[in-house]
Amino acid sequence: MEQTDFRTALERNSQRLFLLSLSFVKSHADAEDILQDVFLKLWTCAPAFEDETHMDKWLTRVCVNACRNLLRSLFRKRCTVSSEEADTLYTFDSVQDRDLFCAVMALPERERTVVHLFYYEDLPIKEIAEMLHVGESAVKTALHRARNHLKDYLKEDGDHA
Amino acid sequence: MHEQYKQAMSGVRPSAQCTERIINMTNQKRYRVRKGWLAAAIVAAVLLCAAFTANAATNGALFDGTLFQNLHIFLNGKEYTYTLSAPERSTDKDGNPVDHYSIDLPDGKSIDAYAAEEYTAFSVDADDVHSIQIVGTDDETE
Repeated sequence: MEQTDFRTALERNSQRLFLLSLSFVKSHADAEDILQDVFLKLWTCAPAFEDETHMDKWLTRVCVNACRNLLRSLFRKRCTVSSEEADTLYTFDSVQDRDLFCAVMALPERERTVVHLFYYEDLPIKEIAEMLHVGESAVKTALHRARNHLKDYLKEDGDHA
Repeated sequence: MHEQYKQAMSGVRPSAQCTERIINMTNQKRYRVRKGWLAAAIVAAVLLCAAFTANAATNGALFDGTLFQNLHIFLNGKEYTYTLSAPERSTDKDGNPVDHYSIDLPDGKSIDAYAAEEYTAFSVDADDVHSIQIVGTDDETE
């Protein structure tokens, strides 16, 4: 792969893959490490891609696998992005955006990843199920629960404010 | 909800340092180690270490003709027979005797092995060797 192609791929995918990693591992540092690993793989051993869509799908798959491997690791230090940390690490346009981010981060792992793949990656239920190696009904249930949790969390947060 | 979610996440990005680290990776030279070569190198290392450890334990008997006189070296699948000659003997910085075996292989390749009582070491001087196996025998030499 040429350096210019690599940079283009990085610019197009870095934020998307970082968010995907973050939705899995819930840790800024781990998500950055995964992002680095994914692009190292792209640089060192990427297959020949038919087009950009093919490359993006390959990157997504590699990223999901890296996240799953990290989550399986017994030695992984469990840490999360707190709302205070989110304020220092990221810039949000509004308080609502920040609250939604924190609400998503507060969801259980399965719900968090399903929400992200559905609402950000715009993946259909079937594809999410294949990617996470679960049934379609499990994805639908997780999505349903996540919506309820988000409603409760955002309502509760609004009441406190 | 899709747009609202994407809007909320638009400010969540990896740090500039992270992106810089990724770009810097591409400036480094790429090294690829083929798994087959790596496995062959490990096998060769284990065999040679075992052989030279035995040599040290038997006070040099392995290579001085007492146990083995010939070495059958399988290099990239091709067999070469090497008859051991007397090693060059020297002493290390602590005064311990060290035997140096220089095994010349075809095409200018060579194996240098050093055997002492407490350690063994070897190096293969070739860059296209992906499979090497050394077997010692006590066949009669002609």
